[in-house]
Amino acid sequence: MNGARIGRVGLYVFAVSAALFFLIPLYVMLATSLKSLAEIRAGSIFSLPVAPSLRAWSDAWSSACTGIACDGISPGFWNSVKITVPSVVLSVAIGAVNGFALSMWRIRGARLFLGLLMAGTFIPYQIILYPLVKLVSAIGLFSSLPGVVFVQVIFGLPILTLLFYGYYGSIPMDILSAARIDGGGFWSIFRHVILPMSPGMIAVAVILQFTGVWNDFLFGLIFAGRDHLPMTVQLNNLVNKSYGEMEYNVNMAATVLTALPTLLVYAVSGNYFARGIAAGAMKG
Amino acid sequence: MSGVTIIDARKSFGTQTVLDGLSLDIRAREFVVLLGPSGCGKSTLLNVIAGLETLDSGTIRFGDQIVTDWEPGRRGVAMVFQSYALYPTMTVERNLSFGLRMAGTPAAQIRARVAAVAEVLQIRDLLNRKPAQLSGGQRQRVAIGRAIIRDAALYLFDEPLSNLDAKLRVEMRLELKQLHQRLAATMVYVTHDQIEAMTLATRVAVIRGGRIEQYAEPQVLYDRPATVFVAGFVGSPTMNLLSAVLRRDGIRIWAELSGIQLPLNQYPFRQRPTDGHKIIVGLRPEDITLSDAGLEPGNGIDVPVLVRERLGAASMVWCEFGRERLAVSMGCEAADRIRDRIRINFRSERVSIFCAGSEQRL
Repeated sequence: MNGARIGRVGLYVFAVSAALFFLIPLYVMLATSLKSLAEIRAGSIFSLPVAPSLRAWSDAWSSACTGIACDGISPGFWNSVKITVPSVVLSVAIGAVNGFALSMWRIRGARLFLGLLMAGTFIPYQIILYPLVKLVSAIGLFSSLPGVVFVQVIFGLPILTLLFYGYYGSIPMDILSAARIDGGGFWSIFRHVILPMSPGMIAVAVILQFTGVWNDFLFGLIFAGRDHLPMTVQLNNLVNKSYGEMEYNVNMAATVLTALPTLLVYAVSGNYFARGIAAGAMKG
Repeated sequence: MSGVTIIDARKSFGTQTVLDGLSLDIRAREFVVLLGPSGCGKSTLLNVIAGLETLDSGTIRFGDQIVTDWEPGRRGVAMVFQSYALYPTMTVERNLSFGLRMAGTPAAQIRARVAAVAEVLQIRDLLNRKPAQLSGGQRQRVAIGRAIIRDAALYLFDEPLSNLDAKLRVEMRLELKQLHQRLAATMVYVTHDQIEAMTLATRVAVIRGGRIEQYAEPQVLYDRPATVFVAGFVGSPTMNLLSAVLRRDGIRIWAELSGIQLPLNQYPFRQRPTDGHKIIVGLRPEDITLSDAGLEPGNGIDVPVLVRERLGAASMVWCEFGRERLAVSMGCEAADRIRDRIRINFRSERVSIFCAGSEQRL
């Protein structure tokens, strides 16, 4: 056996153990969610369910109690969709336009602006939370869906702008020049020339922003208001209830349900992402 | 179709002056080549004409129209880039038609124009391909097609051939020349390749440090360079430049080079020459002849041969002349016959004389 093969075996051993490391908790969650409470109390957390049942899943979705209401976490799911979709669409769209403007057009003060953006990505949320609450309530958006979307978009923009700025900076300036000679303006060049070159970067931005917004707890809790609490907040209310019996199977099911959309986004956009990279690699 | 006039153009990037009060007049239907070493400002000048860069000060006119502050799209120019700059996500057909679509041209008309251009440039079979699926030469054709598909007031070329291999470059050069004749359009062409400049241009502007050194027809540039810089930039190998001293007495004017006297009585001096003036004598390799020592004793000078270069059609013989090196062009047979020394003659009616201080033609 030569050295390269030993290395290969080592690589597989590492990959498999790493995969197991991350898959075991997932297995425990899925297995537990399919067991009855009695079975959970009786057996080991690693044992397979004896009589698998989806009961806990339907409970988690539609009838478990999150605080006072007992509608499961489905209202939270729809709230999260209502928060995440507009937040992602708006911030990715604005981020792309910003990146295009900053990297390909000479704009006075662009460097200063980029420096500020860079600093913006490093600011911990807690520092500006209170002023932000004052600001959002001053413009009348506190405790509302638009309010939380507004905050999510604002906080997504620095990193997304930098992301698109970097990507568009790698596109040869001659392409922009050619499009300007051909009579294109800012928007028509963006739409017809630049945007078609961007699917890979958009996939990256969507993954990043979707994950961030969907998993967000703090902004949802503070800015969304009682009627629009996102899934993460409801999951917390469900899992951390301070009375009654701990329904581990329901908790596990609710947790998997909450994590599912981000997994789905990775699975779908990841594919586009790879294709986008391949398309971006060709030289014009 | 209109000419272009640039008046006192100035442009700096930070502390670096790129255009230093440059003025240029391009007549309608001319093919003007902007020639110079890299960083001389020629590409910036082209971008300024296109409207891609703005001037710090100065005026640009297309015909009678002042276009200094116009956006590129409004100027009605077409441009071919060194990198081709094709839109990578569009097919060749979409690349060609992009400008027409931006201008809102009716679809039927666009189809007809695309078909016509594809015919002229022989790229009909490529219309449905993406740029990544094309070879360098094909991309170049598409880039030219994208420029000529519109009836532009002015066609601009930014080193369009420098990414092609030598054979293709010669072919495309010919096609560009034919294109100019067929379109009868005004063209401005940037290059650092003096052969492209000589072959394509009706007039060449040699640019150095953001200023024009000389603006003349290619043959004038070659025969009577206005400065030492032009003499050293145009021609391959370039003009022999030899330091000398200008001498005159009552009747005669001559240049004193190491060991020989070059009569200059026939030389059309621009200003009255003074005795003892330090000068540079410029002579093309083909303006130095082998002298038949037997026939004219005392004529010419005996110099040691350093190297013989065979160029196929002719040979270049490098000799030692004083402390300088001299290129002498001759036929291959003559070059084969020579030994380690040759006797050469200068064709004094072909010399260029420059002031050693100002490097300007005298």
